[in-house]
Amino acid sequence: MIYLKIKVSAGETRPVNLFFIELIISLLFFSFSGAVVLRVFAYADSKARLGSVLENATLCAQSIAEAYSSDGDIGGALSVVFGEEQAAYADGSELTLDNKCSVSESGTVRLSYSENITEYAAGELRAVTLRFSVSGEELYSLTCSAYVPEGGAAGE
Amino acid sequence: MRNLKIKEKADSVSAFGSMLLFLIFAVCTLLIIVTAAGTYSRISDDFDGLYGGSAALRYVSNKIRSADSAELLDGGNGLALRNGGVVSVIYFEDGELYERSAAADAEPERSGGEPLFALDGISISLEDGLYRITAALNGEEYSVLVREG
Repeated sequence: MIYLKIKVSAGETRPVNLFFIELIISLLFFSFSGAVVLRVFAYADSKARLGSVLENATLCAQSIAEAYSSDGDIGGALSVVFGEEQAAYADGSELTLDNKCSVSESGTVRLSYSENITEYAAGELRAVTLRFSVSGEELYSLTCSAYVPEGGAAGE
Repeated sequence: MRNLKIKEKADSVSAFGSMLLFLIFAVCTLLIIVTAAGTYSRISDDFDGLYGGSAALRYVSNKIRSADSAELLDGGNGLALRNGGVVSVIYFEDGELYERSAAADAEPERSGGEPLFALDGISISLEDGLYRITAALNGEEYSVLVREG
């Protein structure tokens, strides 16, 4: 073993083990590497969760769009997709969903929708924009429309 | 003599310290590997379940959209889709979703098809002009609606 001598106080010296120092440096290096690896895995995990939410959101948006395009009624479309009881939780034009896109008050996914109705002589063109967001950041949005011949000026 | 004993004691402490540090390093490394393996395994399982289930749903829903007409078979375990001169039968059997194509005038049969996706189950129902397709995979259920016609 190789020893160095360091001065501890006046007149007193103590041997220092180089192997010990090398081990501490290695430990620091591997700790740092471990921290980086854990951070990367945590990031990958969070991205995977977001990807899963996005996939469920696209399926949910597709279902709402299909239901909406049949009669142009957003309330009815939400009832068909989430069930009448669950759709009743809609707060104005918002719904809180969990990661699997089921209605949940403690969910982290927010579905907001806005409807735009344009009246024509022969009916109404209704368009609804669905926005899925997580923590305030928009994740996915879809606009779908339905033509309602009986509505608008024709229905009056 | 006294100095030799002190040196021996210092060597022992140094060796013990080195081994302790190495043990801490080994334990930390093991923890990182176990955590990483668990995370990777969970991500992989989630991806397999989610994308396997949603791919099957998208495939069936696109087939319904592109078909001239669709007919439910065996109470929702299968679907006969007529398109031009071809009838495609999509059915579930033994943990697999199969598709079999035949001439339009042939009787839709639920056998001899090509395997498409591995699933735990699939059910298709028609409610108020909307097909509800529900696929189950790895204990999770995924469903989507498709308009009839």
